[in-house]
This record gives sequence, structure tokens and C-alpha cells, in this order.
Amino acid sequence: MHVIEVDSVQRWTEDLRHMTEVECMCVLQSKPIGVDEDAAGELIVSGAGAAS
Amino acid sequence: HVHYRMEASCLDLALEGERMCKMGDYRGGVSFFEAAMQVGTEDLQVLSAIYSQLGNAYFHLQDYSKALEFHHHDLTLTRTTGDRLGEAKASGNLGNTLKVLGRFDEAVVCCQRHLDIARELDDMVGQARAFYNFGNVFHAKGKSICWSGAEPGDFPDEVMIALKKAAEYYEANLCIVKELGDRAAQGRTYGNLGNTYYLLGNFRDAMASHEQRLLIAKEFGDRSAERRAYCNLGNACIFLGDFEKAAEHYRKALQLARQLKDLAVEAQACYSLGNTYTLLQDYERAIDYHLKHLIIAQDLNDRIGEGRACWSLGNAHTALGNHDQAMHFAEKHLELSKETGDRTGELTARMNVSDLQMVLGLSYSTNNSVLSESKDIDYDLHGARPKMSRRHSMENLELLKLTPDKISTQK
Repeated sequence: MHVIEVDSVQRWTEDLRHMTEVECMCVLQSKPIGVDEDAAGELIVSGAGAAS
Repeated sequence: HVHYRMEASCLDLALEGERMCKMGDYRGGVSFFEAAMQVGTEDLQVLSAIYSQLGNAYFHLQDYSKALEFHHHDLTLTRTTGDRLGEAKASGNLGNTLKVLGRFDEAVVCCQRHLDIARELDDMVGQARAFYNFGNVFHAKGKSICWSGAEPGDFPDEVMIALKKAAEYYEANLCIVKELGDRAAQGRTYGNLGNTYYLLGNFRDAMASHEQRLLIAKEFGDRSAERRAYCNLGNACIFLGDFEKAAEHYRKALQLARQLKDLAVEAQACYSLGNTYTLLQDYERAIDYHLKHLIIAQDLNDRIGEGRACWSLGNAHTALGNHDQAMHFAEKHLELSKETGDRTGELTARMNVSDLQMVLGLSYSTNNSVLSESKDIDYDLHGARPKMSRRHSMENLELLKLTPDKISTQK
């Protein structure tokens, strides 16, 4: 009988080697028009996750 | 007099566009900005802001070629007017857009200009942002290069060089944001730095970074970030061989995933736990978590995940000597592999089924549907197990396409 119980774990660890839970990696800067703006100037961009 | 009315109307339209974007209605925002441009303005500061906000709105809408167009307009305009701060911002935004489009070399030029101007203006916040953008460009560049090996040593040199540069830039950013006392920015950077170290195979430093990320996430009550940190910590522990600690981190990630009501990440945590308990040779627990994973995969109609769950469950039951149960899952694995076109999975499942049939002493006729000869399977293996080639799973494909990264809920 083959030792098969490690196969699926091995595959998982191979994938895991590339897997990271990413932070937001696109921070855009804004140029507010409104003069009463609290010109924080940072925009966190949403979008499709690149869960790698 | 008429001219004044026109001015007001351009500004009003632009302000309405800005308000709509703030509300998250980027489509509406774009139409108001476009209308404002139609009217036109002689105030070049306002025009620059319109270009910039249009670029950002299109970025949010994932229309990157349009985003590129407007950030480029903004860059040209700010250069013409000699607005250095405006040019720095435009360069940063343009760099981000080029990065998402996979044009890394051009993105680097933009980051450098952003950094140069920030230095010239003695703008520390700007320098920190430029370093962060730089880090992200190199991180994305490293990830975008298709690698085939799974071991750290197998990553191509090009990948390692890009990731090392990313780490250097994140470290430079960290120095400044620490100085500035900007905890939110530190949290983001620690997370990215931890991931970069991890990809470099530097698991100890990865853990140290993710521990800092975890601390800051807790400070902000940012449960998504906390879950991400636990998951990243668990992964690093696996490669450090500390499976007990990995399980502990994954359990916390699972708890948070449940609180956040995010089924996909809950499934992922269960799958990680199932595999971790297999490594710990605690097969009962492994089965428990793989079953949880299976149920969610079925709920989410994730056939690939379901296949993996069945494969894992078959193996865990085999390890325990529950051959009937193992057979049930091996057959299910075979069925799902065929359905998803996973050739390696299909081959593995066939062999598991035949192994189990030998154990169970079943004749081939009992389940001829399962073992019907398949002409298109390469039997040139002389009974050897197929060498596991990398499966192009959903996650691996994610590495190849450049999408903007996950939203950070941290403010």
C-alpha cells in the first residue's frame, strides 16, 4: 500500500509557499477641490483581492 | 459676467463629482468630472484636481487605461505649471497605475520622481509614501514573474532580486512612519514586509513582522487585519516546522473568519487546520476540519475546493484504516477531478481507488464505472506515482494576473 496520506499535505504546502494574505497595496493620493477638506490625501483603493 | 458663471459651474460640477466619489459612487463622480471638463476652467489647480480625481475614480472602477490617461494629464499639467507637490502626487498615482498594468520599469521611474521631489521639498510623509509605492512595485514585480519551484531556492534570481528590493524599500518606509508615529501606515508596511520576507524564505523575520502587524491590528480593532496576520503567522510556522504553534494561529484566524462571517476565508482556515493536524498526525481532528471545509466548499459551489477536501479526507481515513470511508472520498475525489479537468488529481484519485480496492479485496467489476480505462490518461508510468506538477489552482493563477490588492479596512 502506498503512503498516500502525505500527498495532499505536500500539495498544500507547495501552494502555501506562495500564499500570502496581502495588505492593501494601492494607496493613491488625492487632490481635494473643496477648501473645507481635511486634506488627508490618502485613498485606500479597493478592488479585487490579489490573495496570492 | 458670463465667464464667471461658467467658472462657478465648472467648480460646482467638480465639487459634485468629488462628493459622489467620496460616497463611493465613482460612475456618477466620473460623469460630473467629465461635465466639469466640458465646461472648462482657467484655474489650473482645479483642473489638476479634476484630472487627479478622475484618474483615481477610474482606478477604483478598474479602468486602468483611463486612469493612466488622466494621471498622465495631471503629470503633464503640474510639470507645466511648476507645481512640485502636485507633480509628486501625480507621479505616485501614475506609478500605482503602471504597477497594476504590469509596467514595472515605468512604475519605478515614477516612484523615483515621487521620491526625488519629496526629498527636494523635505516632505517626510511624501518620502514615506514613495518608499511604500516602491516596495509595492517590486513586490508585485516579484510575484508577477511566473515561478515553477515550490522551495525558496527554486525561485528565479529575478524574483529574489525584486523581493529583496521590496524589503529594502518597505524597511526604509518603516523608519519614517515610525518616526512620524503613523501606526496605520506601520501596520500596512509590517504586513507587506512580512509577506516579502516569507516569499524570500526568511520565515523568522516574516514572523516578527506579522507579530507587529497583529499588535497594530488589535490596537485599531481591525479584525480583518488581525485575521490576515494570524493566517500569515500560521503559514510561517508551518515552514519553521512548528506545527503546534501553526494550529494555534490558524484556530484564531478561524475564529475571526467566523466573526467576520466570511465563508471563503473560514473554509481556507479549516483547510489549513486539517492539513496542520495531519502533519501533527492527529487524524481525527484533521478529518473534523476537512469536513468543515468540505461543507463550506459545497455551500460556495467551489468544486476545486471540494475535490481537495475529498482527497484530504480520503487520505486521513486511509491513515486511520477506515478503508470504506476512504473509498467513498477517493471516488468522490475522482468524480470531482474529472469535472474540474484536474488531470493530476484524476490520476491520483484513480490510484487511490485502486489501492483501496486491493485493501478491501473488491473485484474490479464492483465499480467498473470508477476504473473504466480512460484512453487519454498517460499510463506510461509503469505503476509509479505521477510526479506532482504544479496545479494551476485559483490561488496560483492569482499570482499571474495583476489585480489591485485587497482593500484595507484600516483607516
